[in-house]
Amino acid sequence: MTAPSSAAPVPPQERRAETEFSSGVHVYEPHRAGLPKLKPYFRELWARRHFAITLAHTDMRAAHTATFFGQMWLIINPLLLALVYLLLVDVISGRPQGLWYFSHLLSGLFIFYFISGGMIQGSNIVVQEGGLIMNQAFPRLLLPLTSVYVAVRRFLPTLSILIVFHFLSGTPTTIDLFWLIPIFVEIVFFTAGLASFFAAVQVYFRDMSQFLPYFTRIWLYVSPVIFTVAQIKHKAKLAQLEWLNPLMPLLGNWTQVFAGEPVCRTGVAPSCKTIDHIQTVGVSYHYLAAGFAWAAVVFTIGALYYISRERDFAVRL
Amino acid sequence: MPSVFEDDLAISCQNVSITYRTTFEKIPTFKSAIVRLGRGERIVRLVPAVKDLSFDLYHGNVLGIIGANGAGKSTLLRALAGILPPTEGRILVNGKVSTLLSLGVGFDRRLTGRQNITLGGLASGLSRPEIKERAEKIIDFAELPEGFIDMPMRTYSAGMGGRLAFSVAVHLEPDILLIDEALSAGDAKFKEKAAAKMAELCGQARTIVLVSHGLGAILEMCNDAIWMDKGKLMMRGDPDDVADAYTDFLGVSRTARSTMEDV
Repeated sequence: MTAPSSAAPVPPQERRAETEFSSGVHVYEPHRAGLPKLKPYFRELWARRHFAITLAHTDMRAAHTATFFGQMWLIINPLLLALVYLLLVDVISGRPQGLWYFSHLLSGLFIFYFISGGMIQGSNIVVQEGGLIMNQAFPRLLLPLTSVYVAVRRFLPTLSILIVFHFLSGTPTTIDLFWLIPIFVEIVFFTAGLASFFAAVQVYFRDMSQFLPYFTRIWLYVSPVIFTVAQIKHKAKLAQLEWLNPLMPLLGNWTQVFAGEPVCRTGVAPSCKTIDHIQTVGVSYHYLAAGFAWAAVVFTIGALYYISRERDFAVRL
Repeated sequence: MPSVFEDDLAISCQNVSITYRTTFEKIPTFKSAIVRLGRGERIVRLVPAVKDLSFDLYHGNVLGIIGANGAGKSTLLRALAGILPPTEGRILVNGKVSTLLSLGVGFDRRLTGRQNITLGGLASGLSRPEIKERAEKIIDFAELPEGFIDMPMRTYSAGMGGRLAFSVAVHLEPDILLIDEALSAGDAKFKEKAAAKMAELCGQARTIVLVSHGLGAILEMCNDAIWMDKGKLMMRGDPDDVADAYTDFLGVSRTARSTMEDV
């Protein structure tokens, strides 16, 4: 038998809770689709960040425990992926691409798979963690944010590959590279918005997770990953996408700042026959602003839609 | 939310109804949604799990909720925990709630018992130092066989898992503890220990709501009882009286309700 607990209950009049997750007086009323007060909601969310991180680490550990290479897959996977796309482009274009192109392709591909990975994992997480939802009251937005956190943790090791190819490709290393940080922050918020939105949609339409991989595949082809921003702008069919595809400003800025662009000895940039040297492309402020707008809008809509629906999840699972 | 609220009132249910909206298909999909849309149909079936339920409960009591499968006991408990919103009415809950529901504490079976204690504590809003401080007490109380606390929970027996879950729930120092059938897995010795712990919590002016189909636990531990049937409150009062009425009632129409699933 343990000793009686020393903490006496706090007199109730000293506790007035603002949300259902904290102690004090809770009021539960019918509100299937309403929004709770956002300030205390996000405060409670922040208070449980360690829970989200622990949950994320559990997931990551479990994903690779049974494999021979273990955590090394975080590096092997993206490298194999890049190899597949490099071969694909070599075959389609009919001639081998240089190191510069590989550096450009990797930078775009890794960040694209960060976005799509976070989004697809996020879309499954509410259904996957149904047990937790049925048994614990906590701000449910933690779940898709956990998926995004996992995606970030998966992405970070691949940065080492990117850095290696950045130097191999001969792209000048300048102070401009620091722009990658705000661009990445934009991309993280954008991804969190998508993950939240699709996580809520998935509860109502379980087919969503089947559609998403095809949707992301098409999205990959119309984003500046395989093509450069300059190439997309020159393709009549794709040019209109510049302001319609959120990944144009987000990924465009990322790949341009990271990989720069080639100056041709022969041929026309960026698909030179022979490359003279690589020059830096400064950050595009237009793209930075557009990326910020996309991230803000998508995160706000995604998160608010999710929060407005989260009370319904327990009934729907 | 302006509300007249007495300080020693723990739970107040005011005309609470909880209705599930379910579609006929078990798993909702796009295809069926599109087909339904094409036909202009709306297949929504309403399952009234709790109907117009009102009761007040003061701190320092152990309330037992009895009833047949499908009476709405678990649904009511989830609503008290803030997991399910009521469809109508209002629920006031005064204090920090800890839940021990039928599915465990949302425990991850891939993790060790010790990691699950951390996860459960973090989920309920404790900080890491607070959890660390309680971990030893939790482990001592659960009395798992030697070494099991650092093994994955999938290696635990049902009883061991139930003991750990109970131990975590009571040591989170809740003002209100909601327990759903959680003691059914424990052996007689642990049940006795659990009962003593719950009595201790009540002594500190905390409140326990215990759901069970079994009358044994209710009669042993509760000083107040509610009998629910098909979502309605049938009787509220002394556990002995309520249990008598319930068994009389079951004797009359035992077969009629035995096929329904627990909700």
